[in-house]
Amino acid sequence: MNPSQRRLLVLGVCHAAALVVVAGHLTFTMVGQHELWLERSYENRWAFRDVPTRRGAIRDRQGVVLVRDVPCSRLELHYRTFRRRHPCGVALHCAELLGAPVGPYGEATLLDAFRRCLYAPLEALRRDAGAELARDRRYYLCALFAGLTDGPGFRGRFRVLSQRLIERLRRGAQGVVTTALELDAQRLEQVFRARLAELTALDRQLPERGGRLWGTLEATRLAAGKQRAAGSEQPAVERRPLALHQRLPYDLARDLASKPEWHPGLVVRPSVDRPVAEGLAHRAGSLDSLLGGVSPEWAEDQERRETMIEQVQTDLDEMAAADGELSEELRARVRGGLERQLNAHLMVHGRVGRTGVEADQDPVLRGIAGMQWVLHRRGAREVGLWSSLDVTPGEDVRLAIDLRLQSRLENALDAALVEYPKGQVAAAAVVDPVSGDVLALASRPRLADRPAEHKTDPALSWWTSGHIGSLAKPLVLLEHLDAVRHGRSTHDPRQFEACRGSEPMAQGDAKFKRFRLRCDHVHGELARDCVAALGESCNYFFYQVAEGLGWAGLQRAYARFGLWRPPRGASEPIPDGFQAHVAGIPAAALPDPSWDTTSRDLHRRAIGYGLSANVLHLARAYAGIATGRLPELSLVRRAPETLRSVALGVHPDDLALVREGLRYCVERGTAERLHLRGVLAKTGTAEVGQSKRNNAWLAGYVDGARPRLAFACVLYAVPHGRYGAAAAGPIAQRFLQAVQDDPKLAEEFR
Amino acid sequence: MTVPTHGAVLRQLDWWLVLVATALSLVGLTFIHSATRYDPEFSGQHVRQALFLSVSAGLGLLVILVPYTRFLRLAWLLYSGTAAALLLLPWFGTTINGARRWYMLPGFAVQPAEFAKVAVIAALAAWLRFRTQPRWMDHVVVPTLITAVPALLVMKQPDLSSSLVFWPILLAMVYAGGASLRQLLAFGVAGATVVVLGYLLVLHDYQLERIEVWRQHFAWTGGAPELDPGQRIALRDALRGPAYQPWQALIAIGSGGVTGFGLGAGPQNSHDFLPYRNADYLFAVVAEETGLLGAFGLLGLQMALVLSLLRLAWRTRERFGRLLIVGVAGFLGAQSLMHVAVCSWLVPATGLPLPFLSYGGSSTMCAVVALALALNAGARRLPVLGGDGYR
Repeated sequence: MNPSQRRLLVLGVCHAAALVVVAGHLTFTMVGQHELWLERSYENRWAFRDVPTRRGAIRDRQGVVLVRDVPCSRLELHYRTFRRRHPCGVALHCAELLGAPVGPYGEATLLDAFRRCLYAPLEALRRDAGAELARDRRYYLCALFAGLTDGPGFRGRFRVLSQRLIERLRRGAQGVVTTALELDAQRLEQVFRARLAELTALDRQLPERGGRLWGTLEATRLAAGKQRAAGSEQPAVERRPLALHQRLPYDLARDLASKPEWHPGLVVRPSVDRPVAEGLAHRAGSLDSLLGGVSPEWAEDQERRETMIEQVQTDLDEMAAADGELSEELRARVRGGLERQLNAHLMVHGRVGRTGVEADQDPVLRGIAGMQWVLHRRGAREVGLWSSLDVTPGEDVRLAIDLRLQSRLENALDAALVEYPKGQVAAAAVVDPVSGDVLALASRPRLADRPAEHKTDPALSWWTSGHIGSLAKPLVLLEHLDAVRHGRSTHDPRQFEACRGSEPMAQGDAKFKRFRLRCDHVHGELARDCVAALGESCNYFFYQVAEGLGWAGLQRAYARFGLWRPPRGASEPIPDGFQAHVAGIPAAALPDPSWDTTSRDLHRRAIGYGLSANVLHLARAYAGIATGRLPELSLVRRAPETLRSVALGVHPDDLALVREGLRYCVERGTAERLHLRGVLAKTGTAEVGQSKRNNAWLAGYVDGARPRLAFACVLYAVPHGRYGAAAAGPIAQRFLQAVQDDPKLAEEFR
Repeated sequence: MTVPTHGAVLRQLDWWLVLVATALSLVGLTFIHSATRYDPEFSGQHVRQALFLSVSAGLGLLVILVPYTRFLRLAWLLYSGTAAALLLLPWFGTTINGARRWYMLPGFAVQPAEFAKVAVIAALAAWLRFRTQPRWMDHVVVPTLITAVPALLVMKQPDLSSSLVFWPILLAMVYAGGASLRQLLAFGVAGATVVVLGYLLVLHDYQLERIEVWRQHFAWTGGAPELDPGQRIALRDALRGPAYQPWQALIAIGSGGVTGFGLGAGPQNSHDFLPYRNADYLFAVVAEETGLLGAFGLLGLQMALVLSLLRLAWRTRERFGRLLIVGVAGFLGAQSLMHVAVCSWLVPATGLPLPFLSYGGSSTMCAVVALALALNAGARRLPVLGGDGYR
């Protein structure tokens, strides 16, 4: 073997060694990791996809449909495809590239842009104009003409034109592009006009707002241009389909879907809309927020949400490490808040209940989704549907709401709010005192008038709660009577002093002695009579009651009506009457449990200060007074055997005395001027901090052998000087009058 | 000295090499058909490839019949011609997919970079023919310049992968031509320096991106790594972006297993997940459909081709002919190995056809002509007055 041959041997060995390395890698990949790659190969091809169900309808108490799924066709704009493939989009962008001033999308502009393209000089397509610009111009021109000529397919036509154009340019051809490409300019213009006419017709025929197509195209073009100028190669606005119309009329959808190649970028997809029943929004303005909304969760949004939540979690951990400790509760609250915000952000359109009844009853409404086993190709093109399972549609949900009462309550609320500025927060609730069904629930401001940060709250005014003022007095009186009966009270009612309007404090620490207990009027001897004291809402009487009951007595008074529960962590059991959640309403503020029992607030607590509740809580409490049992509230109608209530556990005579007090209030007391017939009610006015504003309340029930209606109304933070009867009273007054005026309703709810 | 007749030349041909090359070509036709049968746009490519092979075989026969010493005379002309063709590409070439690599002729396109490889082999063989002593100028400087001119022109197109094939050819030829160990080390150091400088200064963003995802992919391929949500999104973007092609090729290869899915039944192939599978990723189709056995069979054929060429060089005592054969072996061996390494993502993704197998007129013609030159040199066995002058 000579040295030359030895070198050849070395070369052979080197090659063999390299081959061994490659073969080793292949063996490891194809044998050692075979299962892993096989799985990935399957993942590429197969996908399990949910088959969405038809969502159940939401009906009112009488079965009237409030909201339901309606199959429809959705029109989407894929702007990138439109700009690059649709003759109209291409023409506009090409004209822009050719340096022509481009106006907004519209018939005249597009025709002008097209003509500029049609007669574009070949000089503009040479490299002298700038290599990239010339390339782009050539691309758009070829795409434009390929889109307007007949042939085997767009790509094929584009390639032929593109090669022909380059060849002509290389040969030094002069003139305009259509001549160089041997195209019939007149014929092209004819086809372009036909496409343009169809788009113009579509623009006109799109319901709701005229000019929606051109307007959206123009807005997208400008947004994309802005994003591109900011350095984005693929503007986000071009990547995602934009919904042009949610419910495309059938004939338009048919025309567009039958020739998708004719209008690239405009895609018709089968869809489902979920409109609120026609006329309902007008009749029942609060229902939109009560019913809530549905929306999808896009996969990427889900990922983004997870990322953000993880980030918050990390930040919280760091904060906890820095500050020593951060309670789990706070972390959970922050995380929950973030999720709510993100959910609101994701509320675009789709099938998952996000707010209101839609969210709360989602498991029932949603049904059981089917599953498809889908074979797809690159670019998510679906080429086979191999399997599908049965799809179970969602069940209907029947609400306890009675649409007839609801609309009357809405009208009463609107009428009462006429004299207040826009944005005044108010609410009213009507419940069935026996079953606890929420028959009507209205609030203002409406969803559309609310600030953005409150858009997803179930309803601003019942999600919010406020100090209840004198509405607490019947509840305290009942406990007082019960305490006297059972010897729990330290004060003998016979020893009660007459009301003098203002009195120094007798209880509490010495440092509070300088505070005086105030009553609005000098009620005199009335303060010795519990019925009159309740009817006249004498604070002085209730101060004395509070002193007799002490903190434990007051807590018992409110706990009996579900308005108090021990602070979290306290050893006392949660009272039977406490209802943490109203079925059908995803969120409602609970009464504030954090009482400072060492302060001077004992007296104030007895007249409803420091006790927050909403209209639902109070309608329920007064339903308890009406029937002697505290019902469990529900927005969803339940079977009779599932109704639940808790007995108040008081002597009927005591209850009768309280009712007498309410009757006194309506007939001779603070609610006298409302002239409510057959109704027992109580007014309440609570000052809101130092703001010189009051929460004005009225709560009560329609009296009868079987009470049918219990109600509560509130106007939050009305100007000082307006009291419960004057501000909230008219709501109940108008509502009850409207019910009375309708013979059917009067008969049903008498 | 008598000139051998055509019949004598054909009798002296290394028919084993011809057989191996024919086998590779037939395998290529089979898998081009398999790779394009489901795509109406490319479905006739195996017929076109057969046409390319036939024309190339005819041209190869002509090359074999002409005494190869004539190519020695033509070597510099061929080299200058291809260099000029590469130089003129920016003005007369056609841009496809952002690269200007082709001259459009009626009915087909010519890629001068492919022919430049044969030209460089011929030029290096001509240069090294009488330079048996390991001088720096003879074995390092001038051969590097001869190689660098077309390689840089090819890189400018841009076609990094083709430009990389020139350097194994250079190394194999200067080594076979008598370069010393020190000179080879110098090549190594210079090569490493060029790679680092190229990485820092010359490479385009998309090429850097490909290197970056290649560097990262070793962490992905071993199973499901523990990733935080941000990393998951970055991984998803990478797998949809710069890592898409090599990742899909790796899925095709890995899922093939020992025996593969069967001809035409490879899901990555038939479901259109594998891009450029008729050319730059043809080996992935072979591995997916015939498994490790088929892949090893193909590697065995390639090995047989290279070793047969080296055996031919071993028997050829005439220096120009031997260097020519070594150059061809270096070209075919290196390009085949790089193709397989790219498909299995052992190196960063880049596009290189598999000689004799991948679809493409220029690459097929170039491979056949190169092989014909080697066969020509091996068949004639011209007498020489002495052996190599180096030890």
